[in-house]
Amino acid sequence: MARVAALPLELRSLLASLTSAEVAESQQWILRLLRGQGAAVLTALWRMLGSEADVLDAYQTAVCRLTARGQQGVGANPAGYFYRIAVNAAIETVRTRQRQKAHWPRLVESRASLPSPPGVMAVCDEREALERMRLAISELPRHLREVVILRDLGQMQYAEVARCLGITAGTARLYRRQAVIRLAELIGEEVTG
Amino acid sequence: MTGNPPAEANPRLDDSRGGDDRVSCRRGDLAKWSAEGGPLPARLSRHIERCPACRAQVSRVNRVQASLILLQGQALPPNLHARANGRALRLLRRAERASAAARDLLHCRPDLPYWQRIQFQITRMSCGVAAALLLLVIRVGVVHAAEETRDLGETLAAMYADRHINPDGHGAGGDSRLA
Repeated sequence: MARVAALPLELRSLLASLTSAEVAESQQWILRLLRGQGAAVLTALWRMLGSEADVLDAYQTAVCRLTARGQQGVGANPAGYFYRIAVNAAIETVRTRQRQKAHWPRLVESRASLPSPPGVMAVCDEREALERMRLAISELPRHLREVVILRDLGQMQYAEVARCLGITAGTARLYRRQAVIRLAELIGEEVTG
Repeated sequence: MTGNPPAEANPRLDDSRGGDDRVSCRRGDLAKWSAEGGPLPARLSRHIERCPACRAQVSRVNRVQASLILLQGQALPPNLHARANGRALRLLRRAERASAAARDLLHCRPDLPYWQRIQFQITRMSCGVAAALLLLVIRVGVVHAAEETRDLGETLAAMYADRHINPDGHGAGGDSRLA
């Protein structure tokens, strides 16, 4: 809730208006989820994807799957389910991007050969570092990836992460530690390789 | 041989080992710092000066921490939340409409008894039959009206002929209907 309080006033009012939106009684649970977890999910998606169109698509995919599953289908932890399907949609988008990127290596090479001013290079380096990290996160095993995304990109406390994923806070800490080591290996491989 | 192997036998435990920088020592402070980040502990800092493997590991973890901080610094665009929620609401309403249509479809049971099927067919055909009857009535009415008009025209023509063209009733083709 601290994250919701940190939002600008107009966004908070919009978030609140979700409660009074005219949707069917059977879909009220989805509205409650969007109101409670929507901000954090969107923040994590934005940090994972970095593109407005992709974030909107992933968010809509998540809502679509919630609707298709229904309240009975998502189990006892709807918030965790919401996070997972949103994260899975984001991971799928990152992988698709990577596959698409594999088809235009020549373009990247020609861009790299062009001389650029130092400021532009710094921006490119930052963007590439972010893309590299996003890709490395998407290559993590599922249990490690979910913890990193919720903890580092969604900026949740370990207790919240544990509640969402149905694990203990200690396990979440352990997974996060393993994830950082694995990410270090992946980033190291990419830099040296 | 159940005790721990000596440091010489396991190069991962050797604190001052050089050589392969892909395999770092198993140091608790390195693992702890990797997980928590922040400033490098003094002991670890002294250690990496003479251990290339740990130095490389610290460098890699540093890069990971820096990238994660960079990711956390990506601020959400101001109207993204509004647009995302707007799309979600539209989707929910559309889903509700679609599910109402699906409910209607589910009501059409395929395993109806014979008499119900006949009743259903009769109900479905009744509109067509009514339309056909209506067309028939209209057609009969139109044909009948046309025939009446034709008869009246013929009668009027005969009257005209009898009165003005052949008042005596003689001549070929004379038709004396009025008589």
